[in-house]
Amino acid sequence: MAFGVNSVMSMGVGALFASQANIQVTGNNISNVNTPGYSRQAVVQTEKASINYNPGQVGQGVQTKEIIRYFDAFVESNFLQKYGSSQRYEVQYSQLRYVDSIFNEANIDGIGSSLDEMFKAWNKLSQYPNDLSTREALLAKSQTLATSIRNTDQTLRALEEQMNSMIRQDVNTANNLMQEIAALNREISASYLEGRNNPNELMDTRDAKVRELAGIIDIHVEDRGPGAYSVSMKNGNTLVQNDIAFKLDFKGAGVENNLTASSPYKATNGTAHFAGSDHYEYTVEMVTEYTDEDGNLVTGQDTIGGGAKFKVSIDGGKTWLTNDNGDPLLFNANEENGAVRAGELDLWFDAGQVANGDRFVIAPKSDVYWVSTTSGSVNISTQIYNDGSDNSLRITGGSLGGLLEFRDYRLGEYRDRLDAVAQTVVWEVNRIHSTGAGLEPLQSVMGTYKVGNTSAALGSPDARFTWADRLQSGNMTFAVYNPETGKPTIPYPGLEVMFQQPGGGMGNFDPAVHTLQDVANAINNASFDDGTGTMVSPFSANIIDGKLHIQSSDPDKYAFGITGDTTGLAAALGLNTFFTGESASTFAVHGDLANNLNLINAGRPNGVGEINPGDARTAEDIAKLVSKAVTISTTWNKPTSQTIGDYYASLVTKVGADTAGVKFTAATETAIALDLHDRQEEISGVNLDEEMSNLIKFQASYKAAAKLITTADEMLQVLLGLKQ
Amino acid sequence: MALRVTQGIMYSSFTEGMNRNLSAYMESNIQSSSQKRVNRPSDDPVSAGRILSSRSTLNQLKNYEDNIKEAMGWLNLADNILGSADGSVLNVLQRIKVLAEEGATGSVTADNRLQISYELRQHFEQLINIANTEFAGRHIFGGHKTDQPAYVQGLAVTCVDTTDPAPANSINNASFHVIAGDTSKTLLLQPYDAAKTGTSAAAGDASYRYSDDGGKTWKTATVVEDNIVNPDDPSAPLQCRIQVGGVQVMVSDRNAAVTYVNPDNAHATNNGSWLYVRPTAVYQGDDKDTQVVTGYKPSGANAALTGTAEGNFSRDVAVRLDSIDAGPPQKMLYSFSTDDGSNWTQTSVPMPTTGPLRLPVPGGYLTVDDESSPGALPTAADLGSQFLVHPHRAEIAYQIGADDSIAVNLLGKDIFGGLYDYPGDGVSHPVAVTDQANLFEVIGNLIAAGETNSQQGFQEALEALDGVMAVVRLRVAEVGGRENRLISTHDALVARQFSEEDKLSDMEDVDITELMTRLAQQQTAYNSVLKSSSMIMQMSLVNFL
Repeated sequence: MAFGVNSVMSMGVGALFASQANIQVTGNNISNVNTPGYSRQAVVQTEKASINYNPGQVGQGVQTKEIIRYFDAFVESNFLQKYGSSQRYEVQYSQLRYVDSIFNEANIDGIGSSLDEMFKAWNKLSQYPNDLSTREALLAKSQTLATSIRNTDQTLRALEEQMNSMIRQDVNTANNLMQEIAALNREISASYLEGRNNPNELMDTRDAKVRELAGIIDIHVEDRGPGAYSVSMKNGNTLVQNDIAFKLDFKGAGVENNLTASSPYKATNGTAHFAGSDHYEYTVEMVTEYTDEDGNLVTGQDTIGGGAKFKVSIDGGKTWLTNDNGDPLLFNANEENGAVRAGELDLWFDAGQVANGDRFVIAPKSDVYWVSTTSGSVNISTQIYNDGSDNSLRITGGSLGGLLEFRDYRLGEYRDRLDAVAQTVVWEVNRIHSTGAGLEPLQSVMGTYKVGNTSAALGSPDARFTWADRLQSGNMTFAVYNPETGKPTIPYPGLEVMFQQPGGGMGNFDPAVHTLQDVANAINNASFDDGTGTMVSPFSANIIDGKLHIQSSDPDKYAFGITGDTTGLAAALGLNTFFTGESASTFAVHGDLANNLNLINAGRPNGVGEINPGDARTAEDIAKLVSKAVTISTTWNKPTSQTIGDYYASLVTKVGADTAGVKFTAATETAIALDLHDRQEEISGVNLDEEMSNLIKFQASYKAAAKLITTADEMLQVLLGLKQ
Repeated sequence: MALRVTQGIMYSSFTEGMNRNLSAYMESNIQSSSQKRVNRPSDDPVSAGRILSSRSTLNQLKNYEDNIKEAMGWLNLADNILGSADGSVLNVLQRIKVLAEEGATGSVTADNRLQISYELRQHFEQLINIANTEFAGRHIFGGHKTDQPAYVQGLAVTCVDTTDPAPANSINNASFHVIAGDTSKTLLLQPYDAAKTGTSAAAGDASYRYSDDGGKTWKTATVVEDNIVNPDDPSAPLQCRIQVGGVQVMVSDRNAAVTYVNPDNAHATNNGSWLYVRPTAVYQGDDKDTQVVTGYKPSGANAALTGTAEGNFSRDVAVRLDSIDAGPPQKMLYSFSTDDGSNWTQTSVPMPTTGPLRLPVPGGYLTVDDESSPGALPTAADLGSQFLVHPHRAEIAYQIGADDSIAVNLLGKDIFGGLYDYPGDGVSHPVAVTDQANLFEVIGNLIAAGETNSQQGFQEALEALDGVMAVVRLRVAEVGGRENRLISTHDALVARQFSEEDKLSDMEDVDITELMTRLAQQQTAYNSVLKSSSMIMQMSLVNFL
């Protein structure tokens, strides 16, 4: 057929069809104007092939080739990255706003004012040292402080729990999304015929899922055409490969072995063990060559419990925990019965031989792992180095990154600092209180602090003792009183306790040498001549569950008091103290004081060993703590010297600065993400005015095409009429 | 600038714009309702921290102010009752002086002196009452022993023995103390034997008589127990106990010489031993006169190395010998701590060529010496030794500044004297305070003089009264000085409070003018975004089709 009526007719049909297709697509665009993730579609129409004829090539009309969607993959990949980053900070900001309000003391009373109130009550006690109602008020104010610190800690811990459940949800959502993306990949590759059949709706759906995934975790997308679509984390861990989905896992604390190639520990299947929890990940490295106490270099110390030592890092081995000289701190690597305390954890190892450089990565918290099909699971929880940079092998974006960062590096830090506040208040008050005296002498005191290993030197990590670092060389003296009269039984200063020295002989306490058992023995050995030539021990000490207990040997004849202590032992063991507890969560006023106000120490034994009701030395010294610079440190931060109030104020400043900083970062990242989103929207979004004019345009072309057909029809009628 | 504007972009930009303006508006509204610039830490993190510190500082200043008020109470009371009010110690002493002058004149009869003694007894009791003054339930002159009266009435023995020439080992005031019993009148005790007038005998062997009516009638006093071992020191001379009416008097050396009196002669020079058992007051409080030093020694250290301290210590001080710097010059490095060894401050002194080693420490000096070979210096083996200075403490001090405290009490013993059982002196009975003129002892003797009609006693006491009044005036001046210091500290404190409150207000309070301007601006901005959004929203091609 050259050209004729039929040709016009079929051209008209083609044009009609094309306009119809266009109207259909325009209608679809209008319908989906508010559908999230919808990309504007358009019909690609081309001229039909022309034929050679007279007078030359003649067009054959239009043909519709395919329906495409407007979508810019390059803008999208930029958007995904920024979106992940904005989510990381948005999530943190929404949580930090809450923390910001927890520490808010702008218009209400909080820990800061409770602290002031407690010191105020001590000051009042220094005015009225033997007044019971003043003591009662002090007790109440101290309990208020304890309660507000404990409650704040509890709120932070509850928030941490909430973070864990949010992380778990995110991991589940991410796993589902990965499955769905894999399934979509399968469907898309089944129906995709490039240039002819575009699964636009499926691709829109997939892009929406990918966006959702990018909001949870940092991802990188590689689209190499039909059937070759993969999503991976920035660190290269694959999440979806074509139609295969990988998995993320959120699981509890664990130890990962990272042994050197030739480590003998492999043969014995040995590993590290721990007790306790911390929000940092510990990297433990074995050291078999070191300089011993005598300054000699020793090598080959590779036996657990027989000389092997280890060092500890909390930033994956970049920096190590050091001693005051800046050298890495070496801990004894022992079996379970000789566990040592490093940081917040008690660590021990299976028996066997280790090699220098054997590493163990200890995650004393729940973490997110990437499950590989071949090599087990890999910890991908966000890790931030001391310099503030991200470990790029871990999660660095998305809400998961935000939640993990918030849980481990913000909440964790605040809890550490709050612990430091509680610990410092406990220590400083107890240190003064423990050498003071109340209104009556003591008959029995039970230590409140537990020593993990009673046969290890108290000052060493092996003792597993909270206040190990605070002990000093020196000695203690006890006064002995007649419980009825309250007068000293023996001349001042009373009984000095003498410690058995390693080289024989008796002498002072040395934290690097003496164990809790030595302390108990020294107290038990203290005795005096009762005037008849017989030596009597007025009190005895024993160890109950790692705590020291001292009691009068005859409650009718002897009571006692602590008249001097340059070692810090009384405060460290919790004898004659005001507060108990060693962290924000355990911080409390000593229970004995609540039952007996007389045990609050306002004074201290004077130069003749008397305890007098008008003496307020101890109360005054404790009241003065409010403006005294003291040494405050967390487990991992360098100690600072400032007042307790100022330290707490700096915690509030930190929370505020973090909140303000994250708010700023979140706003910036979100603005950029929003801009990229707008750029994609510019390309793929629907403009109703445009669609409206298209509709009119295609309606007109439809009318014209129809006219073409009626014209052809009329032409045909004319032709047929010729015959009649 | 968007190249292609879509419905999605338009609507999200409307809502975003409205929300941004509205949230800034609300933020200003929060500031307006609380009148605070900083409503949560993130508003201004640095100020939020400083506000806490500033509030804490204000609290401390309030504590100091509170302490100053309390201290004022103590010191005003002391000032009033010692010197400035009616019935004050000085008032009473002036009246006593008038009485003493009267009694010291020769024209006064025995009955007149007795009458004077009645009034003196009243004043004496009044003075004890004053010495036992309480402030808010606490006895202010008893040192740290605030829960008991500073003084109780007691008895003491005044010994007048002008035997010439004095026999060897003659008795004196210190030879006697009263261990039990009571009397309402001065007892006059004399060694008496009509046959032995003028001769001397050992106190334990002598015979005695006593009178409770100033020498009008006499009764026999007897040595009821002889050769008693001194409970404080078994190697000291043996003691004896004399029963004088209802009073038991202990003589510290039964071999001390007493001289028999001549009953016909009155109290005069060279007429035997006249002993007056008369009233006094015994101080029940404590003192801050001295300190005890103890040591903690490492093993191998010289056990004979001991410390003694001199100075005015208000708190316990620990001293540690750290190391010896070979020099030259050779130095002893040592540390001291005023908080039981929590914090140590290191310093050094040049090592002397011979001991003892004198170390300056807060409050005074610590002297380290070898007991068994004085002058020996500490050696390397002694390093690590700690010495603890435990002062007797009696001062009640209030904190009136970060490093400033003021003593609010005076020790009764330093004003009124009386007897005091010094702790740690090895004597288990009270002895007279001898640091200065002793008020209660002087008045006790005055009463004795009145009740035994002793003109000489009045004359002696008259002189001593001037000394007593000088002491009281000195203490009044001391209290006045402390009050002045409180007043000036208080003024400075109030000024500091003002400036701290100013600083706090600068940090946390909102600037109303600025806030109101800002609110107006934000209102305009919000209105305009609403207006422009609504105008655009109404536009659509559909309207024209």
